[in-house]
Amino acid sequence: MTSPPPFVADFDSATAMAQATAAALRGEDWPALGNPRVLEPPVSLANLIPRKAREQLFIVSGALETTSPKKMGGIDLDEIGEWLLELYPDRPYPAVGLGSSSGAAVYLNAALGTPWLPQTVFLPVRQPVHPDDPTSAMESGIEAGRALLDANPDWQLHHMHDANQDRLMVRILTYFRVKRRNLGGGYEQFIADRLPPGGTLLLYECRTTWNTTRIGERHVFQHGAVGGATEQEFHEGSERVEDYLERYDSPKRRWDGPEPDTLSPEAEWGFEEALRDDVLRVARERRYRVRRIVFEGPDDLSPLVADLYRWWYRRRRIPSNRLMVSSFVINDPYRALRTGSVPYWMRFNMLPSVDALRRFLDEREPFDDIHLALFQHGVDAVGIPSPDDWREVLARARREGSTLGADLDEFPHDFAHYARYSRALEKLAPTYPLPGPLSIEEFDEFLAQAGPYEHVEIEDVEPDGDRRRLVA
Amino acid sequence: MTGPAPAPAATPRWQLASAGRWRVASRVWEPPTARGGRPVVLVHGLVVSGDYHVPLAERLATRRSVHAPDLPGFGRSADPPLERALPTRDLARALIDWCDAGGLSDVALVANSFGCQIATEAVLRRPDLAGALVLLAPTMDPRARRYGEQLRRWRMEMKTQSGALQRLMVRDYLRAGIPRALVTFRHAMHDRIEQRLPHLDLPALVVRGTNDPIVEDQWAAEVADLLPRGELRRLPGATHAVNHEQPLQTARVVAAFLDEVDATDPGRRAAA
Repeated sequence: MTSPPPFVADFDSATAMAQATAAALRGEDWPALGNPRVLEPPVSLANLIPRKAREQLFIVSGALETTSPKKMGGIDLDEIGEWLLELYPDRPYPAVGLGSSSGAAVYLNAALGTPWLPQTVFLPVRQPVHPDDPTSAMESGIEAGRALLDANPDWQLHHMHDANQDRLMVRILTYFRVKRRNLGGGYEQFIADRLPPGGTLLLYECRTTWNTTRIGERHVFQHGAVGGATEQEFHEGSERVEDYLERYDSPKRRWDGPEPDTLSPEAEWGFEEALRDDVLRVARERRYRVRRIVFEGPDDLSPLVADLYRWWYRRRRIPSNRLMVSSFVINDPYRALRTGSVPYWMRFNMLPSVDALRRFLDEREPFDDIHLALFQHGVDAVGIPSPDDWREVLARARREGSTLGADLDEFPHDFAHYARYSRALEKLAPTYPLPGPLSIEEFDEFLAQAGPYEHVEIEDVEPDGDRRRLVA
Repeated sequence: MTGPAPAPAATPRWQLASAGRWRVASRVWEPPTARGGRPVVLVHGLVVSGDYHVPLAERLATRRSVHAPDLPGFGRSADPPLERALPTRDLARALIDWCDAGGLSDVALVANSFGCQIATEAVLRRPDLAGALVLLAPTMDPRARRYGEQLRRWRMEMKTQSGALQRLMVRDYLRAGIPRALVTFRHAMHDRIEQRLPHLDLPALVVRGTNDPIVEDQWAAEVADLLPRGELRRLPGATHAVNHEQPLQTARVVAAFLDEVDATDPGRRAAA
């Protein structure tokens, strides 16, 4: 498999999701987060190392991926488009997905047999700051950000600093998330080459926003990120934040970030609407239908996709009572399809995700088996669930509830899980042949039957501009 | 064969206009008497230029104005630089921009060979660009989308060429440059015209010469079938470069088709 351009992080959610999607389209699994399998044995021993040393190793693994801020002006972000052209099998597709990142979209694209082009990618930039000093983080990144944007006029920069979940990483690197504002740089070529006229563009639009500080016309700074802590807790502090900072021996008891002055699409998940105009232009020119899939949070799409899979399995007359809960970048649509698993994707591994998963389970026929792939980020962050929270969810299985090789007592420090989940998936039985892709018409049929979903809207825009609501 | 004898056509004028980033040279023939029919825009094929359309243009120009642009990189339209051969999409874009710059809309697009791939792409993008479409010996048959097969057909086609055509082609190949010829050919191979045809909802005529080794009859029939309003005319004994080698025969069926479209569908032109 080709590698992403060197300036993009391997632990970027969008890159990982594109890779998992491409693997499924090729009829392959996506083991060990795309890392070489020779690394699995050593990584699976990671839990034998003391926790502090394990954290250091995690930091070093991130540091190896950073780019020097001095090199920002020489980066051509359009190389991402060239990489995607190589990543996906070279063949015509009935539909092409693009836009916001969402693990649920990974499974939807895999079901429909469609590639997906991310709007947002993540550039890790070398920049040592104290995790609890967001203002310094912002100031140190201004010059590098300008250089990057001057060299890349079609992109906008969301400089992000999250001292909660990314506590380990932000010591040595800062998060530059860049969003495409139009389809230039390979995306239009990809679409024109591989989507015949009459095809469908699935435009994923996540409405998550954040109060940011504007630095330039296409440059904002985002203090905090979607996760266990709320946006307000980042800006104003709370008891949970105080406890957390005390737990990590920080000199601070709240974060003094820069004053927010602009509402922006959230750095990692939110959709920048400038892209939509360009998508509609291409759709008009090449006679595509644009299916806008609009959702509030990235995991608001998860119940719909899980139900779609269940509906599809029943239609194929195979059992549909195995639930595979995945989180963040641990996604393997190929294994889900082979094992007849209903995929439910969690945005991350924090309490809001557990709550959403519980709500999903409350409203569904019980599953016989529930399997859990749990992202590990190494920080006892604000809003982290306890191992018992996870056990309670797994206990809802009628037959077997288990993690896919994760040790819940080590959560969220069980980095060995990354090397184990694929083996655990391989052991699941029975297996089924990989089905042919679901057609857009079948997807329509499902949507007509399934009715509306909370926080999800689906709308078709025909090439001549006519609009039709499918789900609202 | 009998038919309306061509009245003497006006001498063409050369024009230079901008098409987006490029400068495009074109010949234009104005008819002796204006008849109000759709103006014809002739789109040339691989590596040749507007010169190649002159025999057909002269015959069509007795009744309507005719434009024969040299697409960017070909004939007298020298830029873009040699190492940058434009893909089909960009050539279509240049054609659209050139029409826009000259105030041409609702035209009759008449294309030959690879020019058909460019013309169909342009109409897909801009349905108001053309009110009628004529595809003379359209490429590229998906069953023959292999280099070896193309080479075989092309060598057979060379045997059907007249000396005059061969001289013209040698000159145009030298002007365009061999690297550009090869890269443009590769772009043509990757382009899938058959995917666009079902979306081109305008009156369309497909013309195939029965002695054309490049365009097989089955493919020409498919092109006409795929077009929502397409019809096929077979020209007995005609070759691939029908517009150059059999201009009278070609002009007759093209002019009759365009007259028919102008008569039955003048509204679009008036509306535009």
